[in-house]
Amino acid sequence: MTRAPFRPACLLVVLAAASLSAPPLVARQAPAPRQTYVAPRTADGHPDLQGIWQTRNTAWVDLQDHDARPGRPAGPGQPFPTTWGAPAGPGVVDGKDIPYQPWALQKKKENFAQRMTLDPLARCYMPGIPRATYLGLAFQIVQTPKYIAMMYEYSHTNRTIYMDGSPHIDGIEFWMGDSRGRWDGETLVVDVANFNDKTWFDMAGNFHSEALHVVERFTRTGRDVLEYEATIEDPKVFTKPWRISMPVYRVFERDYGDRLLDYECAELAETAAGTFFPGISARPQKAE
Amino acid sequence: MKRALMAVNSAALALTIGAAAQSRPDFSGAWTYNAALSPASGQGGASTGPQITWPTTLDIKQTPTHLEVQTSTRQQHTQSVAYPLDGSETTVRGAGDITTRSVAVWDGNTLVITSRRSYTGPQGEITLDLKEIYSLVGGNLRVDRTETQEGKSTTRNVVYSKGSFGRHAVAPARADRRAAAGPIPRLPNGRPNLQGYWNGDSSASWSVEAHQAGFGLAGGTGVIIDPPSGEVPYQPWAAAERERRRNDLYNDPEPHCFPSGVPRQMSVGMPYQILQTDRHVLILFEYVHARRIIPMNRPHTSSRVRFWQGDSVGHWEGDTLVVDSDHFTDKTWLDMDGNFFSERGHVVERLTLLDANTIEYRATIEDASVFTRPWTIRFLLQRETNPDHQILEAACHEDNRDLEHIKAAYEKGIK
Repeated sequence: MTRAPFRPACLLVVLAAASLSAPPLVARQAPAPRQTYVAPRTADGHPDLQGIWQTRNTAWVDLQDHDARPGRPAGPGQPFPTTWGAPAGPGVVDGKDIPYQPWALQKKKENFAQRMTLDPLARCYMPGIPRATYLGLAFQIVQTPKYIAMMYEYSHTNRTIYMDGSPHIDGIEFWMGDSRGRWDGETLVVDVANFNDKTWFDMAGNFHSEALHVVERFTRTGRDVLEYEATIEDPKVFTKPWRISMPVYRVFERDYGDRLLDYECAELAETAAGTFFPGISARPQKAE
Repeated sequence: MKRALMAVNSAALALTIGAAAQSRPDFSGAWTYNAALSPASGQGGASTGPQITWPTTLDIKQTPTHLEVQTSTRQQHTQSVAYPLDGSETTVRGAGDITTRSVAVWDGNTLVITSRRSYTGPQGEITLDLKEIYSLVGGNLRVDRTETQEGKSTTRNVVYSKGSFGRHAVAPARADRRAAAGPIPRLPNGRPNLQGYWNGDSSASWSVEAHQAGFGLAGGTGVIIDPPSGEVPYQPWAAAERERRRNDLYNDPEPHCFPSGVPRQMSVGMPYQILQTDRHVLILFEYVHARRIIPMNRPHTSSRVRFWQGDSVGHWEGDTLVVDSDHFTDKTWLDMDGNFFSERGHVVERLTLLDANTIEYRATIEDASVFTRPWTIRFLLQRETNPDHQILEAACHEDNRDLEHIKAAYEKGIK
């Protein structure tokens, strides 16, 4: 439940290290047991989900059961797939299969074949929802009565969940969707809509259209565990709604405290490609 | 702000006028942008069209035969054009090789000005279509601006009031607004409630020092209040490094969509939201979806990990939120003018509510390896008062054409 012990300059290596040092131990479980844990409350009486959280599975590789496979996406600074492979893991989809329409299943296969270059994350784009949750990088939750902020280590991506009963904003598409939340007892329920059609669900080419609608459920099932579920529907791509679920664990870092660190995707890519020259070049040998 | 490189230079605004009948409204006067009366953008960075910019002042002289319009931004860079009223197209060549062709026609009591701005770079011609509708509403001048680029449009309505608001276009207006805005809001625990949507002084992110407007740049009178010279107190080697950076804008982190750093992030030209809990102050920025997470009453991290926005911790001193930031990278700049500090930099910010809609922002910057002494900037944060306002997505990487433009300008020798 700690983060990888070192933070190399590459998402892919970070993820590989995390998964090598901590093989997935959460097999798909039967439906979550009846809720018995009662979370501590915030000042306004709702479950306190605040903290820094991180998944420990391989959903970032493929939402479905998968063997280890070669390669990871190339990026703007990474013209060739790396020699790091993508680890095997059990899927997180209820019933194993994603109910694609026939044309969409064909497109998914094409995406998979070209995943090294087509994956939006290869260009450091925002990951979308639910992918941001299980990228394997940490995210932080901060709650106020009207807004819940979810802030992701990946490329300083954020989203604000409106808890004021307001409807989805009209007419604007978002990479991260437009999130409107409510409390259902112990559970934070987030309705996410207004997506664009550009994000993927994983590195395996699973995709959606702009008609995507996601309903997420965050439930604290222990002091240091959240159960995360997302029901995904998109009538243009799928024949019926489908669901993923996984636990998310609290991150403890003795030295960092409650700090979310930086994973500046484009900087890493640009530094690797030699297209960005930050820093001070005229510093004298002895600055002080 | 970055997109402004294309949608630039409101100062190049061109006006022509058709038949100015005596019954037409008279737009003459010295007009100043009135933020309080201008509807906040419902679009912002996530709009599909170009980002709208507009002048801060308009000096208009209307005669039966001419309409003279002098525009300026932050009362620095001015541009004046007189248009003969014979209905013909007018061509203006402005700063940065921008050519503007305009036609104006009366439509009832409104004046409709249709313009096309073009800039020819190595990659071909970049054009922007601009439609402005001038009208007088309740003694104020209202300009509905629609900018269209590559088939996508953005509209913003801007209201100007008569008179000059002086430095930073806020001073005389502030007393009135403070009275209207009432006492500062407080949280149940008695602390000042800073929550809401705010805009910094975007001229500071162009340069913290006084600077002329230029291609894509808003001028500014400078935000340094100490030292009194208004200049960054560099050591000699650092002054040379700053000069080098001024000619190396490609390596400014902002066009690469990286976080702006502190304090620069607080003056980016897009709104941001402040949230407060007992344990944190959050600042969520529309611009590049950056954020600052500020734990309250905590020590700095003991690790050597560095942060683009610094490792920020906050506490209250009376009614002032004090934010202490350390553990910076050496990768961020202070503005687009080459100003910088190193990874040894240390920033202390102070945020004080002056009234319900105004925060006084001060930041003291020290870095013994770069400066001869600590120095301080100050500007005001203005509340976005539109109740429907919310932070949208400025998906910078996903639509980043700035680097192309900077590279192109570079190759062309434009600094």
